[in-house]
Amino acid sequence: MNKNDLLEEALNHIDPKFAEAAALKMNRRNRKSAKSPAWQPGLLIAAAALLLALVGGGIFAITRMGGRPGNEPTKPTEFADQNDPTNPSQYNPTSPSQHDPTNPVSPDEPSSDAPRVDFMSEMTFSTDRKSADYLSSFLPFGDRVALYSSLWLPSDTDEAATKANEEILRSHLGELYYTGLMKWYMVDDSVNLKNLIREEADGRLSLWQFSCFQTWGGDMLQEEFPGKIIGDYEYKTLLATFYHVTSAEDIERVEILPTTGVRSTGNGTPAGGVQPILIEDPHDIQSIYDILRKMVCSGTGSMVDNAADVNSEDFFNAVNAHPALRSSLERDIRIVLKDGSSIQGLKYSAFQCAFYENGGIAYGGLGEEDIVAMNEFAEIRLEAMP
Amino acid sequence: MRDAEIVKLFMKRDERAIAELEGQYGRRLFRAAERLLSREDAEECVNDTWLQVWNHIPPDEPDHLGAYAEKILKNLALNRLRAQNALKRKATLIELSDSLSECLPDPYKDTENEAIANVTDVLNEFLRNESRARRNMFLLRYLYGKSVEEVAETMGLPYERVKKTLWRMKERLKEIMRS
Repeated sequence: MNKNDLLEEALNHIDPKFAEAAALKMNRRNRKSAKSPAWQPGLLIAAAALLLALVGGGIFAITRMGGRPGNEPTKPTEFADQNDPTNPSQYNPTSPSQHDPTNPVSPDEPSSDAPRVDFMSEMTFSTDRKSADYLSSFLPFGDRVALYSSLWLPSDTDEAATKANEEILRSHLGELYYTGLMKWYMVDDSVNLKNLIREEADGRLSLWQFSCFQTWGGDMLQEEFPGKIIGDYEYKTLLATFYHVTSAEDIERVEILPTTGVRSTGNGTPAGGVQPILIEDPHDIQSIYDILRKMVCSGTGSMVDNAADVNSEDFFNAVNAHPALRSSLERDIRIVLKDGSSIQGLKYSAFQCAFYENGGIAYGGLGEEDIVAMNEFAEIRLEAMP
Repeated sequence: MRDAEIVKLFMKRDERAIAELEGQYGRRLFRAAERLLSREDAEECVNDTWLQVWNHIPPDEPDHLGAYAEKILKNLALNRLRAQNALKRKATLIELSDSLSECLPDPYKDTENEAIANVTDVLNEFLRNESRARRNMFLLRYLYGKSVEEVAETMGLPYERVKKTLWRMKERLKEIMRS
């Protein structure tokens, strides 16, 4: 084998996600160049018209895409408070590890997209987080490895806010969950592992949130967590492992709400002109559950490319260029379970044809019929494509 | 039919397994393949996937059959793409290996597998630290054998900018390999 062959073989073995992303780019470009651009000016005019309607405080009057999947979703008159407390789950911590790997995470999806629970609303979160403020850590979770991301870390520059936040966290310290190089505690007396409090080496406290199950990691991670499953997973795995949802019958209702994502709205306030929708019909809940359970998470840094199934790249680019449109095409999803707990932080994007959770973890693998059905449930109406 | 039941059919070597798998996931897999390949190649790739799944279950016994089949499909699709671009790729690889020649390990000193694994690790680390756009540029050029003009057109960027970016990336990769 010469050096040329060596390089070729090495390139053949790079992370398949990288190879796939480049191939998608290449193929999308090939398909686009084969397509007629005749309708493109019409699309841009339509996008501009929609934008004008928003600016003028007008109404979206656009044509529905596709047919109805079933019964009319009912409209609520009021909702429970989004900060409902969660119920204990039955997770038992594993034996301690001697290593606590941390990796800095790119702040592509700021934590202001995260759902707030009561104690967090008392805390002060900086709006000026730098990349050094985003850390991630791996923890064992059932037969998987969970990736937790930092929501708040103690700072030497803002002593007053740090002291206040630490006092809040200390008053909500629950049971010890895991001991590695540092100790991880649950929040209060709940066994909800969505948020954890970590005791740093100097005794100060920090707040963390579950991001996803780890889907890649190579030999080092396998050595650190022997016997754990590290790979892509369907959302039904998360539903079962994390939330103990194994069928649609575990779900009380689904709330489809205006998006509050900072990346969508610009400032975190709910998108205007969008009415909350309550899904309570068991058949509708079953339909939504069937969509959610099969979507696939490829972990952090993965690409979701569902959009090509339903929306063209030109539509994608046109909406991307007008953030006000984007927020109208996205919804926050809250799933209230029969045990009284709820799944928060899930976001649906008709623009991306995908779901997102926990600060940007993407779930893809949805087919065109799934997107059409979700758009119907969420009453997301798209301009008719010529 | 649930995944577990289809897997049982595979384990029993019941040929209905493939029909059930196709019924459940055929459309999704075809769409995934079509994103990477032409329609004709996508159809072939999906058919190859059924065969691969048949050959791998047992001993594999996946919990999530759809994700399992999709992973096989993606590997097949990427291999096919690499093969399709193999000739063009030879030329671009010569260019890259000339640049990196002094930094690449001597494949005759280590075992072949060790040398490949070492270089792969370095490449993965290098690519991981690049932006998605630069990563795509590099792979379009050196994995899929595209010319600089083709890379520029695919990325929607000026030719000179792509040329300069690729050169800088090669220099960075050289530094990483030296260290």
